[in-house]
Amino acid sequence: MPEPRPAAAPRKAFAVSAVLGRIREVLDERVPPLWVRGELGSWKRATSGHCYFTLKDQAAQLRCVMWRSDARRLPTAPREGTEVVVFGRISAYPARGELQMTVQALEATSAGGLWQLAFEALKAKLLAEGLLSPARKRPLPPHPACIGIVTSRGGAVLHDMLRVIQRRAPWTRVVVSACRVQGDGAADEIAQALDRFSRQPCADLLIVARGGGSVEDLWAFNEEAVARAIAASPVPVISAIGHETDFTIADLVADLRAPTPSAAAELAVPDGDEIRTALDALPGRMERSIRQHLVRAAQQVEDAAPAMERAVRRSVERADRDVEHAHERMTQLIRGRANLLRQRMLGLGGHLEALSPLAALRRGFALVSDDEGRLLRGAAEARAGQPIRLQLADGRLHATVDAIDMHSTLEEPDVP
Amino acid sequence: MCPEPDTTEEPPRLAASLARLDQIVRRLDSGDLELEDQMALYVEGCGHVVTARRIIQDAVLRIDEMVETVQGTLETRPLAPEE
Repeated sequence: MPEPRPAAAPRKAFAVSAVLGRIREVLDERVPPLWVRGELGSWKRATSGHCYFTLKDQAAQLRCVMWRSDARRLPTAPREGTEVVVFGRISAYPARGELQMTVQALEATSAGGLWQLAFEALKAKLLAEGLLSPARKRPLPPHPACIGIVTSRGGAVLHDMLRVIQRRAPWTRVVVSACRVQGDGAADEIAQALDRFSRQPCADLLIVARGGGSVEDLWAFNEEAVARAIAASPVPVISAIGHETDFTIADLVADLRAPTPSAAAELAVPDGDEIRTALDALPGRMERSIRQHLVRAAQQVEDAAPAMERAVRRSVERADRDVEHAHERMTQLIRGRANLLRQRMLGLGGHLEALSPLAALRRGFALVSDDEGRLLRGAAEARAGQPIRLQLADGRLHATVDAIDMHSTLEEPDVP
Repeated sequence: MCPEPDTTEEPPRLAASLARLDQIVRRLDSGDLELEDQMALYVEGCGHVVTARRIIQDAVLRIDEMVETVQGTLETRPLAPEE
């Protein structure tokens, strides 16, 4: 069918805006929201927060806008060239005479999507800094006096954790630092809530927790601010984000990951019943310990008795030998000393003999005394007619002095 | 049987009692003590056992909330039950 040719110049023509307006109406009415796949190009985020980009393939391109309210849910700005799928409405933009897609959701098609790309990028960064190193993981205190909990104030998560702590360790103090755990700005709030325990260090252990949700709901726990706040905590941190299958960056940085918030509370505090049982057994255990040492000591004494007896016997025998030896030595010494004295006495006896007046008497000399026994030492002491006694070696002579001759000299007697 | 413990004016803390009990048991197990010292540790240990039991028995969970004041300082106050 041939194309109708225009007649003569019409009296009435449509205004451009009317045409574009009509096209817009048709698009809005007839084309429902749809998914479009393409390569992302020229991504730009305006200061208003709205994002502008193009989707293209080899033959065509489509201008797109993502309003701030939707764009803020993106985990990261997608790189140009990324293959993505977007969901939204196609409409016309009369001011420029262009088609435009208003995008409500955007996903990368490769490597798990945009969330996974952002997750891997931050994980690689923190890994390079060593913040995910197993060496940084700190042991949990066995009996924390105070536990800090970072979570939202309402809801079942906090209630569940408090119930577990109440059941297991009601002597524990709990300090809640509340924050929003999803939505715009939640990551900063979580980081601030964690940081309060650094500014006022009352807790021995922290739990950062959130209930289950979609990837977007949990995304705040994949943001760098939260990761760094956990890493900066002065006390160990247990993370419990979402369900057991959910893994976040916060879990990787935390000292321990718990599968659920209730499990985190179980890991954080000891079980009072177990402690009570252990306490009940302690006195008996201490008694047994002391008794075992006593038994061991008694056994040692018993084991040592024969050896001690042998040692004592050896000492006594040694002492006996020493005494005997000393006795012999003393006897020898005394005997030697006695012989020496005897020799000396014999020598002295001979000497005394030589000095004795009796010896002179035996050689022919006589002791002269008066009749009263007084010794006469010179002729002058005698007088004529005086009775005297002459003591010789073998007897005494009684005589009378006939005369005294003072001039007579002493002649050597004939010594026999 | 354990003798009665000495009463102390310090607020007893379960962690401190349990940590001391752990030390006492280790020392008793080591066996390098005179009998008098063992007996003294035993008596002390019994005191901590009674204290720890009492703490567990009398415990009431205390829940506080840490909030930031308008002055920018931190304040800890009891978490309201209805919250």
